[in-house]
Amino acid sequence: MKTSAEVVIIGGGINGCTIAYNLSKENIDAVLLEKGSPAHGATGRCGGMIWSNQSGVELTNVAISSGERFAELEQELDADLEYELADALTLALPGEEEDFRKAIDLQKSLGVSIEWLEPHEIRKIAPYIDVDNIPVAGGYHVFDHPANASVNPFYAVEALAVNARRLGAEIYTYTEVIGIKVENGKIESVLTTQGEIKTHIVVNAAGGWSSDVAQMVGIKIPTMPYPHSAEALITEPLEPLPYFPESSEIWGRQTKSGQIIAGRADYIAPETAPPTEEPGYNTEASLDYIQHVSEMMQRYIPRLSNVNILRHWGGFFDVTPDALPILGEVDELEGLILACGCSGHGFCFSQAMGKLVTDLIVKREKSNIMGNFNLGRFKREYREYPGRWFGGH
Amino acid sequence: MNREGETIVCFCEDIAEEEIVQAIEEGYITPKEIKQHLRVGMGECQGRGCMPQIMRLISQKTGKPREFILPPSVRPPIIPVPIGLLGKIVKRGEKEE
Repeated sequence: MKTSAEVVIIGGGINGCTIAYNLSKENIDAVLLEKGSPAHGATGRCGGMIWSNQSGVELTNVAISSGERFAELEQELDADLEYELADALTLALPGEEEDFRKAIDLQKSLGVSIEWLEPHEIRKIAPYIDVDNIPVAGGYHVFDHPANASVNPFYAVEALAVNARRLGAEIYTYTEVIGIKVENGKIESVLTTQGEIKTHIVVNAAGGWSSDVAQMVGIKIPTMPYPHSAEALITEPLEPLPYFPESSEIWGRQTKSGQIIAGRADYIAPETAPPTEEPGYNTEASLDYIQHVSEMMQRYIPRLSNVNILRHWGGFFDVTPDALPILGEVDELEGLILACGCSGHGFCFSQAMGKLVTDLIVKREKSNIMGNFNLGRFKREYREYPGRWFGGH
Repeated sequence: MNREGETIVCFCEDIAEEEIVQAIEEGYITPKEIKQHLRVGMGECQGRGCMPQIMRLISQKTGKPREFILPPSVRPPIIPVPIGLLGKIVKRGEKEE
């Protein structure tokens, strides 16, 4: 094992691997530590989706710039990522029309090709959707825009890791961080189950475990792993559908392989979640969930009733109190950089997060966005949940 | 694709023994990593057909005893189940029983 590095990245999910790749592209000597195998946490359990319907201008811009990077990756990494643009169709349920108009205006103002559809227009472009029974008040349709796409998360992590290694980064799997040594307010080294690595810069991209990592240097970050609704299921491959309809009840995409990956989208804030929903790493797949999603899929697209479900799994979100990421340096300790707290949008934001962290390390360049996503915001007054968890369309 | 002379391990994703061995040699040394790398065990059989053979190959190539090689997580439903069987459809206006 290497005994020193310019930067040590903790976490081998999509964020950590993206940062490792971007840093090694800039000739920075980086080491990535992953306690399990790559994509062991939330990345390996996510839907691999990129979508531009985010709350607020900043997050929408993050999603757009991330999507634009994803669009270049297959060629740049010389790998098949099962990348596919999604002609997303999102349905407005009765009472949601006004929110949808706002979401359309916001995305349009930032250059997303998006338009409102009346129910009869939805019926025309997707006659297989049971518009009357759902019932649907309208919807919007995003077309040919890189911020709405699907990627295979395993292939993305693998290709980023392979290319990071090719450019000189070291990636150690099954290597757990057990401590971070600090001297005179500066990071000196990272202690792992395989040995010690001297470094002055540590990037915490540990997702659901990021608060545990920060705790090693006595810094509290208010993220917690939250399993609520963090489940998904996948069907057998089927004929391509022009659109898989999403709404405030359901999310889903048809992947390049023809399979539909879907889950429930109804958002429940931790404080209103059922008392059985403790924060934690419970990744059990529940019978309630698969029944509920199957019922919805059938209600939305009756012809899916004969399609087989192959697999159903659970995961967790790395959630912050305001559902916005935590990004950038911290006041308390020189050399610690946070890239976590994506609250269920980690895969979607990863390419933008990776670029922001890389610019910060390489060019010492802080974008305005970093200020807003800084850990320091929790010391000031902040609004609870101005952002949305994954699924809050 | 001409597969003559090859031993197919994963029929769902059409993966030959040679490809599994190559993956192990490239450093994918657990059933979970090979699953994510080659999609073996993610098809209709969910690994019931291929995983024992993959675990045997890992053991042969790495020297790790077979009993210490754990299969990837088993995901429900154990066999493919139609959406219509799992979710009962309730039409608008009808009452759920």
